[in-house]
Amino acid sequence: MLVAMTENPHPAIVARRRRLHQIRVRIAAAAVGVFIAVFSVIWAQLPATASTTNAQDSNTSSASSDTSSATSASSSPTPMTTSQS
Amino acid sequence: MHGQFFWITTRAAGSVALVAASVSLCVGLLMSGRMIKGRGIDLRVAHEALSLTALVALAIHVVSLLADSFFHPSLLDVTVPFVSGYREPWMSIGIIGGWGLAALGLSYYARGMIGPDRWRRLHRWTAAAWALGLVHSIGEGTDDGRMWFLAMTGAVALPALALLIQRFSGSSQGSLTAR
Repeated sequence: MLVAMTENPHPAIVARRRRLHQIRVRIAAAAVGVFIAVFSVIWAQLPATASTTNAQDSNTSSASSDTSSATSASSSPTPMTTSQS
Repeated sequence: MHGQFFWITTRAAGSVALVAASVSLCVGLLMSGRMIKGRGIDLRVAHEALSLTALVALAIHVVSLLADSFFHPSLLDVTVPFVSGYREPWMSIGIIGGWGLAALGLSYYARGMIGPDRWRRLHRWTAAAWALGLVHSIGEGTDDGRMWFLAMTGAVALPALALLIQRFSGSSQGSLTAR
């Protein structure tokens, strides 16, 4: 009898289990979605800093190769991680 | 870019933790204030799932910070308050809030041992731990001032704050005494 009950639970119980499982799945999916969205936004904001820094670095290196006395204040490279305030 | 990956991961996971904890707090307050009728089991499951999501995101927030090549903190820096020295007191506020959320949230699974009434009294302090997390995210200031961060934080934190104020202002006095 007990085996039969566990094999065929009441449809209402099955429906409730399914509903609760869906709640958990939706919350997990929403959390992953928020993570991806926030990650993408921060990542998208990154290239501006990175490309500026790379351009600055390449200018600095070319300037220092052209002249032996590259002593301007802009020659100090900005770290990639300045966004880590 | 390798170091940036972990740094962005820690920030994104921190945001997810804040959102999940805020929504979980809202659901918890709606449940305890009996503001939504007839969906008790759904709300309880949602509250539990959101709390566990917040704790997982919090763990990712800490672990990915350990992997960050620029900040490169030690385990003690990110788990013990006032050890790091980085952006204090905001860092320590976050650590205390994180431990509070973990301890008070997971105490649900030991409520039989703690005792239901004592556990309920204890569980109310989760709101204080959440508030510390909110202060940490705003005070730390990495994403503070960015429109997406302000919009996201406002959207989840303001309703939670409103519900908290309503809860403690005495308008839900009947449900407070009932519990």
